[in-house]
Amino acid sequence: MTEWAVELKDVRKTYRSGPIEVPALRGLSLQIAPGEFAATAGPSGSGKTTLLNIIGGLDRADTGEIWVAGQNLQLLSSSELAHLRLQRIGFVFQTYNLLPVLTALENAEFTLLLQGVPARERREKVEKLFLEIGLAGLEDRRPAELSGGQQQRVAVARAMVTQPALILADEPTANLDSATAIALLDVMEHLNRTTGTTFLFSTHDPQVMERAHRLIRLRDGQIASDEAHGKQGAAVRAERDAG
Amino acid sequence: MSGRLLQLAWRNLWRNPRRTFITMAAIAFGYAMLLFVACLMAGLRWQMIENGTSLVMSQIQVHAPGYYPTRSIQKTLGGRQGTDVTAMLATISADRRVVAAAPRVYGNALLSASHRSAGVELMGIVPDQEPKITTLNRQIAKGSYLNAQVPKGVVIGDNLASTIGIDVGSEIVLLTQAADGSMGNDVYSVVGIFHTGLDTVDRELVLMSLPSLQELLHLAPARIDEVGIKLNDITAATAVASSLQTQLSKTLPVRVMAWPELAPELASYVQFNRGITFVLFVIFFLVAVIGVMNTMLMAVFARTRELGMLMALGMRPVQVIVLIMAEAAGLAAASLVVGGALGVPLLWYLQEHGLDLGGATGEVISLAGVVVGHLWYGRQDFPAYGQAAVGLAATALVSALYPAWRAAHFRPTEAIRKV
Repeated sequence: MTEWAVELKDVRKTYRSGPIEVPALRGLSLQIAPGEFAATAGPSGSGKTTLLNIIGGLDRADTGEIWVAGQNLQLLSSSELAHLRLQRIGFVFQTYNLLPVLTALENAEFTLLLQGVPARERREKVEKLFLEIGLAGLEDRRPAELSGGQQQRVAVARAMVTQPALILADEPTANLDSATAIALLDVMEHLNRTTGTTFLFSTHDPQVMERAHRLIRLRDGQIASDEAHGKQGAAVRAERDAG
Repeated sequence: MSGRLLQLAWRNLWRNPRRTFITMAAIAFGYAMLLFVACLMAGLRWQMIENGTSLVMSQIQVHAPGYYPTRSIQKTLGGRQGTDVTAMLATISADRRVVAAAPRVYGNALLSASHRSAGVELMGIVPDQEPKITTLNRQIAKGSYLNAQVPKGVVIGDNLASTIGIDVGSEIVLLTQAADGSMGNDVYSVVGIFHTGLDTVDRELVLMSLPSLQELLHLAPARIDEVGIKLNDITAATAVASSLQTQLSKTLPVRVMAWPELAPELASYVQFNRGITFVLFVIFFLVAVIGVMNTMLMAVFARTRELGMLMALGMRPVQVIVLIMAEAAGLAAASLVVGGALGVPLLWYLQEHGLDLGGATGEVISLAGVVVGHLWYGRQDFPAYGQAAVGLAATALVSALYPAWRAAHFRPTEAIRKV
């Protein structure tokens, strides 16, 4: 039986603001296999970001089960969730969120630093990754000295350098022009292919939807459609169906 | 905590250089002022103790039990038989902490000259020994100090001289009750007039040679009232007194008293001075709390999104607290260095040149019955500087606790949404 990279069972989440209740996820179930390159799409309020936050252990579901890397997140404490995020999940944010006072290399190695990896090993891993994703030579630049695309690549490097099981990317191309967005997707797809890391995006961007091997459309907190894209997508779908 | 996190904390501190610089400048200036105040207060304490003990009293006194404070003429050291003064001085001087010791005799008399008279206190001293423990010989305003050439010479205060209407060279008559109950009286010559600035001393004290006063009081040479002692470190007075008490008691019943016991008002002032210094420290620390907390709160709220992101990446709340505390510690450390650099020249100036208060308050200032002088010198008080530094660092860390706690309780999903 397949051990899913991510599995959600009847997950519900409602936000409350005084007497007003806003359901964000309404009994959503989903499985994502290891190595998938999947995207969730949908209009604002469809639950994309909530879904990513819950899968990433940043937010808790009201009911249901969320399994990531073999662990039921609903049963983990805040501290255990933080540990899981650090060890098994990488995050890429829409607005890069690099630390402005650190250089590109220092930003990228930050998660390794939190893991307690020695300095030399951190540097070696980051430099190798920078070479792979076209950031070589930019190690000592501060974020303000980098373009948006370069900053987002540094953010990807920061997420990838710990070799997590899952990368969650919340609209990673939203602030990038088309060419830069495509280049970034190339990088992420390359990393997905070479490392087997599972990628899950939320996006509005048709380019991202086009490049995703699987596109999960959300509407009103539920899955409206779940399609395989391209050869790789079809292969993953077949494997999942077989599982 | 790794060096990289410390580095991050330090760099974070300089993200808003103006804010950090202003806070740092305020704390540094405050620290320099604390050093300044601590130095001045220590100087004042020192001058008070030094002047209070060195003028007449001396730092330690040895008496017969029951002599002090009534100063009964019958209670000389060793009783009516007296004591071997030379041996006693040798025993006292054997303590390495003792610089000098000198014997004394006291009495009360009626001083008469021309048609006027006044009650006076007589103090018999050994002219070549007493200046080693007190400084009255340096206060001669007119004439000279006691000397062997004029065995019946006396030195009096300027207030007494003007009250009675006498001057250097005048003859006076001293009339007193001697130790044997008879009346003692004799004629003496004024050889010098001193001015200490302390009214009671300048009005009542008459200094004469020890043999002269013993003769006037009909006391044998072996009978003395007191031995005054000067130490190389006045802060050791109580300990030395205790040690001498043990040592001298082996041959003679004595009571050895250090200056805090002899001049409790002076000891109280020293305590008061320390209290004032402490209060000033506390006031400064409270101001520092506000400054540091304000800076750290602003730093934390300006970086809400970033801190949320760090927590999303897996940074634990305790690490966030450590990061913020490290920033506060960095701020305090930098402030201490700058404040110390500002303070050192001030401390040097105070110690070398003092503050001249003469212009504002007149030539001589007396406090708690002690002449301080018009120049207020500082004295290095390294324990106080250390306490100020430790207190400041602790203050900064305590001030950062609340901002750090707030930061550690950010919810990553909400924090990341903050613009």
